[in-house]
Amino acid sequence: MKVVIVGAGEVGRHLSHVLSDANHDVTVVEKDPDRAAVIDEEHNVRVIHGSGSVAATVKKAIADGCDHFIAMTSQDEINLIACSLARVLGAKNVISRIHDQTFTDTSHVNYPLHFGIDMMLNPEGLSALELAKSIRNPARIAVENFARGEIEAQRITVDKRARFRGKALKELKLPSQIKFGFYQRGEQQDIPSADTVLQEGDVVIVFGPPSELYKLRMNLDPHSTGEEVRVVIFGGSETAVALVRLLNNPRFKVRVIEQDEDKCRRLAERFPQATFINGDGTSLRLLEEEQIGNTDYFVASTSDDERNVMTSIQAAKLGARHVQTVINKSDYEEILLNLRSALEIETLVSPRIVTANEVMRYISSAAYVDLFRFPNQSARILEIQVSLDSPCAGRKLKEINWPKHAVLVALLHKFQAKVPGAEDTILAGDRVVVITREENLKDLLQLLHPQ
Amino acid sequence: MNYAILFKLQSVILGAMATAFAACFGMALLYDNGQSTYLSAQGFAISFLVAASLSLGCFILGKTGDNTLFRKEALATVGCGWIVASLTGALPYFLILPDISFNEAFFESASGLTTTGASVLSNLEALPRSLHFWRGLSQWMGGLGVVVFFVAVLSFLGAGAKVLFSRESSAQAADLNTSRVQSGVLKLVKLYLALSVVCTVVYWLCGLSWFESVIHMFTTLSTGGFSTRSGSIADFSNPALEWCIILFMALGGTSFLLILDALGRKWKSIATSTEFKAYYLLLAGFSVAITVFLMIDPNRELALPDALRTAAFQVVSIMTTTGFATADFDVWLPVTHILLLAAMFIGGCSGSTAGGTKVIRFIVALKVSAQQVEKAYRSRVVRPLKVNGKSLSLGEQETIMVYIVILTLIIFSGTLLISFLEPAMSFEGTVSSMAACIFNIGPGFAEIGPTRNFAGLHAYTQLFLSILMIMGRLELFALLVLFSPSLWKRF
Repeated sequence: MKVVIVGAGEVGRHLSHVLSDANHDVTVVEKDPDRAAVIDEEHNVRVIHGSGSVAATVKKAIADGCDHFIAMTSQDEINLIACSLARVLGAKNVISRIHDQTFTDTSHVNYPLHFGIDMMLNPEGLSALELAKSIRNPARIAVENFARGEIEAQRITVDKRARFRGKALKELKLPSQIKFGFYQRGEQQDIPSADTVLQEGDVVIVFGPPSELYKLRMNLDPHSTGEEVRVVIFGGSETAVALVRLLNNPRFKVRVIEQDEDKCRRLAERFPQATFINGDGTSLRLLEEEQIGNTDYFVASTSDDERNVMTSIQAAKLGARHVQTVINKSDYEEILLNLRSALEIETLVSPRIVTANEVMRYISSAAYVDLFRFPNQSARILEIQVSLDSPCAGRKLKEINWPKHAVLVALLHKFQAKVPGAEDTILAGDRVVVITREENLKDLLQLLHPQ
Repeated sequence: MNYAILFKLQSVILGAMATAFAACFGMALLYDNGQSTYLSAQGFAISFLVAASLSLGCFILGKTGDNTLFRKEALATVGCGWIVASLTGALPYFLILPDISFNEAFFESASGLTTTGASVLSNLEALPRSLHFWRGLSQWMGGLGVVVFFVAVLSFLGAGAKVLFSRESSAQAADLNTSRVQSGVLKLVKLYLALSVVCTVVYWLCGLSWFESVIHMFTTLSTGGFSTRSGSIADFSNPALEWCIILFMALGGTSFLLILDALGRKWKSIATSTEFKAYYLLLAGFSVAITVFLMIDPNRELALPDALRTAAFQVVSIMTTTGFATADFDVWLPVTHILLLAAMFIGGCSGSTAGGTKVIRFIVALKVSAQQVEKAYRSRVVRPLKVNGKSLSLGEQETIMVYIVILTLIIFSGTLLISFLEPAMSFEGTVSSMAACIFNIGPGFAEIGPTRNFAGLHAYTQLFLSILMIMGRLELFALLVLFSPSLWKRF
């Protein structure tokens, strides 16, 4: 496939590297001559020296066809202009990196539609999602995020005091955004149907928006919801902001340590639910004063890797139960992965890698991507692309004859994700997340992606 | 200092006073009867001539020179304007009433314009009607502000009008949310006029004569508190009227900008207004507390409806700084005095006609204090301070805290001065006379309680209290800067 990448920063460079390794034709547009030279030397890609916001440059880059146009500069406005130009000049698929959340707010103007963008990517947001995964789910088993955090899967054990115990799924009057994907009773595992009756000790996997799942959890396992989770974030970076936003449930007690007083004040005004501490997070005294030893999660998210790592080690030694660190520089990645257990850092997140993974998943031509496999291999969660020749394309869900043990848990149309209802229509090019038994996979692919 | 614009604007203020005197002159010719007609008509005619000629003189002095109005000139205009208006406003009292000294007349005039409602006159029923009309009219003009009226009219003021407006009114020009301050102020004036019409009609329906309706409308909406009767509202013994007055006093103490929003169905701005909610909660809370204390008071056995009405009336009247009375709260249980004193200090909403420290400042002060307590053990924590849905910057917080500090200093030093000038006065009387004047309320406790007045005070005390009333009405600064020498010099 022919891919054009605008901007060869940390993320753009890594992406061009991964894509060219996967045998795609990659063209990189870079404004800075030194960086352009470095890319030219290191990777097997075509380099065009120029600005992505200039029509002539974009035209030159996509002259011999372009399947995917990816704008990856650090400036939103340049990305938007580049994408808009590429769309007009004939790029098939346009992806833009966006930092500012206001561009994803479609209540006034639908920015993606206006600029002709098919997908918006936010590396900081994706990193935050990766960090939030384990924080949001204290059980931390079988958790996946689909559709950039809008839909989540949770494993819940039905408690003996649960209100929903002894009822069939169809009697529960669940909101339409919630789907039961899987249940496990003793040795028996299956994908539930509407008649399945919940019993004490059942383990169920449910899909839906995090807020709805939280309500469901109260009805299935009343004990697990009340626990407070103390989270301390080091640095008021964009990743931290995205993380604070993801952790807006009142059971998360979030504190953010930021050195810049003005920034602290601005953030404190935007997020009244979090506490902001103005100080140097590397100071041992500050960490002790803030009782880091008592926190459940310590997340180092500044743009300075050295400070992130040192503070993370400090926090782990002070007794923080789980430590997570953001790594920006590619050079440190390998050594940190090797030293992870020794340093007691539980999760390492790199914006470059999560972004590249997201893009790879999006542009891959494979029929499906494996998202999760259940331990004994009896069921798996897949993301399947609906092809043009699929018999389902353009039809409503209720008109489709689904295999019995396959549950459609998420429908991704462009960049909008939802848990589908019977009235929703599947279109060619959409992606669906399905939980299915191994034996039904063939039927399902026949239905959605026949080849 | 651009003296030309200063004189020009003083000429406008004096012109407004002259117009008001002309209206009173008309009232004197139409309504006054017998002996007093000649005296009052003559008094207003002389007052008119003095104000008009002073206005002309100022106009000639300010004719040359440009119209640019900076902060300095705006502050000086507001400060001087109120003193000049109070001085000229004293003329009718001085000329018409036979046995009144000029300092008493000045006190009465300042009390009128600043909507305080404290009086040195005892037998109100004997006053000519035209003078009643002037007392009411002066409160009505002072309620919204003498300067506000011409900010709306004089377009040449430009951006300087903003400073004028925010210095005279407790609202900020930015709160008006209009692209031209003049059109915003014009909306306020229209609202004031509309409320006045409604209020007059309601009072008339409650059984007042047209004349008394108008006078009481003048003094209710402006939260002034002058009445045509010596016994204030108690003289009417009309429960329906009392409830209506409670309603209009409460409205007068509400931010006019919020009333405009409510009329425009912008409910969201009311829902986010901390001040609005706190104001009505405080009114309700104080009323309920005092109702309880009235009912358990062994000296008076009031039934619940009477107790509630009496308590609500006194609380609303004191907290909105109106100063009407339906009962002599001076003989109530001492605990109610403390509650009423607290209501005096808090006062009404910003952007209303009420005085006091203003509810919003109290909320901010409480919030800042709570944050400072936390800061004592957690110095690095950063918390936003949100009121009315917006967060206040450190500078704005500081301004409010400093205001409260200056106010406290003035109250303490002023109390000291009064206790020196009035050696015979009780402690309660001294403190409450201070509060009653600087917060523009009117009645206090003991010697200046609702059934007494300020007539017996020393001449210097009356002058000092008059200045305090103007200072309180202008929220200190516009008057304080007049004493700062560098205002008058070139920098």
